[in-house]
Amino acid sequence: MTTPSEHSEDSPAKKVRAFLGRYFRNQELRDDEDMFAKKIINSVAAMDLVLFIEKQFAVKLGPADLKLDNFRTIAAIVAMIERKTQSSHAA
Amino acid sequence: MQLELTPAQDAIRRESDELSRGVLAPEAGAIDRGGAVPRRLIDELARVGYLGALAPRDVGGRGLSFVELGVVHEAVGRACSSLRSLLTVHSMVLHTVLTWGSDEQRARWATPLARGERLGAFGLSEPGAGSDASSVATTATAHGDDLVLDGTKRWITFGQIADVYLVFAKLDGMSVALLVERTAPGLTVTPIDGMLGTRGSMLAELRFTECRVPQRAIVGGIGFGIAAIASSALDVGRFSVASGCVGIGQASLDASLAYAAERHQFGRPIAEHQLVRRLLTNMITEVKAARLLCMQAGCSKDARDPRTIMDTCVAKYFASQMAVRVANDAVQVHGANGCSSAYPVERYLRDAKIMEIIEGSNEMQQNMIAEFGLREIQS
Repeated sequence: MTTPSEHSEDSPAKKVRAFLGRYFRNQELRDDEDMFAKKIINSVAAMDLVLFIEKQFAVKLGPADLKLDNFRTIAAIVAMIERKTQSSHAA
Repeated sequence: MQLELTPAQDAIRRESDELSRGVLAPEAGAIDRGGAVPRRLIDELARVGYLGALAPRDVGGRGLSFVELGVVHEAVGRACSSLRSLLTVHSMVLHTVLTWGSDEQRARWATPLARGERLGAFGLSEPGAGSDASSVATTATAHGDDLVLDGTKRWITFGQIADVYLVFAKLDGMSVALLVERTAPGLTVTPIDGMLGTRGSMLAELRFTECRVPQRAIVGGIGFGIAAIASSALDVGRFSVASGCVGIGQASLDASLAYAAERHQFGRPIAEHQLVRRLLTNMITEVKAARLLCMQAGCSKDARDPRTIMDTCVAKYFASQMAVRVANDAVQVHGANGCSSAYPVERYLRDAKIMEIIEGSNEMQQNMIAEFGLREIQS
């Protein structure tokens, strides 16, 4: 079994960036850049993002996941997805 | 997406239709005039499981899908928009408890809400915060293990009789959602009346004056009150409102078809006059179109497809406008009789207008739909 590399088209980072790209069109955004500070994450984006993560990565987000630090940057979102994916595989 | 109800979904349709016609509709006029819903009707909704429609059976809910929820809301909305509004706000609170509540919150509230033993209400709007939900001025200030709430919530549907409120406030400048019990010290509930429509929805103003609640009343994370909690609850609310609007449209159409067939002018039923037929044609077409949009939104919700946010906005935007147009045409078909409370169509029109405003005004829906459209075309 192969794991998508960080830069492959199938990597979580690429998928999350592609999804969020619809919200930060015309803006450059690094993976470690604060999306709350740039006001990219509004109420619709947050809900859209939760549904996207659950559908795309087959994980279920719960109240413990709703922390600003889990959604602050693309890197933080990807780290959360990887933690959730690993814990669901381990279960 | 399937366009027909499955046999199981159709059974829900028949069941809710029977309840609507046999039990709810005969009471709707009195509810409108009296400005209140009798407890026995709430108990009846609880008995059939509609207050816990989306909740799983293991917590005492009915375990319906969103498509089935839409069917129920159409049926109840056809009879009485005030009762349907109770289902909406209650389900928004229950959905939030089930989706984002802590284990303790789920243990405390899920079953009593799902069974209808306790009622929930949604506390977002304020005197100065309507469409701009992020501007809520209610504050939550940490005091040891407690939070102290100060502020005012207005237009809270069924706030008069709810047992628990999902309240949105600012904590250190960040939005939070909290479950606040009616008995919380410092909470004052004041009835609001004199509304245009859904007059039986028992609106209230909630005033929090140094209202003390435990910190564990926070639902989800700090900073996500509006961003995830309110938006996902409003998404459920919008879908139920859209489905209820199909009910208003269908009720307006049914009344108009019956009236046009029996009312004679110029020596024949008015249904034989071409201009009345044009009204009926537009009503039939618009109700069908709105129902299909709701079906699409329900299907994308059941599939947990992110496109459901857009689908729901479109359904709510179209269905609420449809309800106003169709109810307005129904009054026109009925002539002077339609302006009298002796016929239900004037109530349908007043109730329909409310639907263009609640759970996100139609102007907010337009903004969101255009934003989604622009994102789609640029991605």
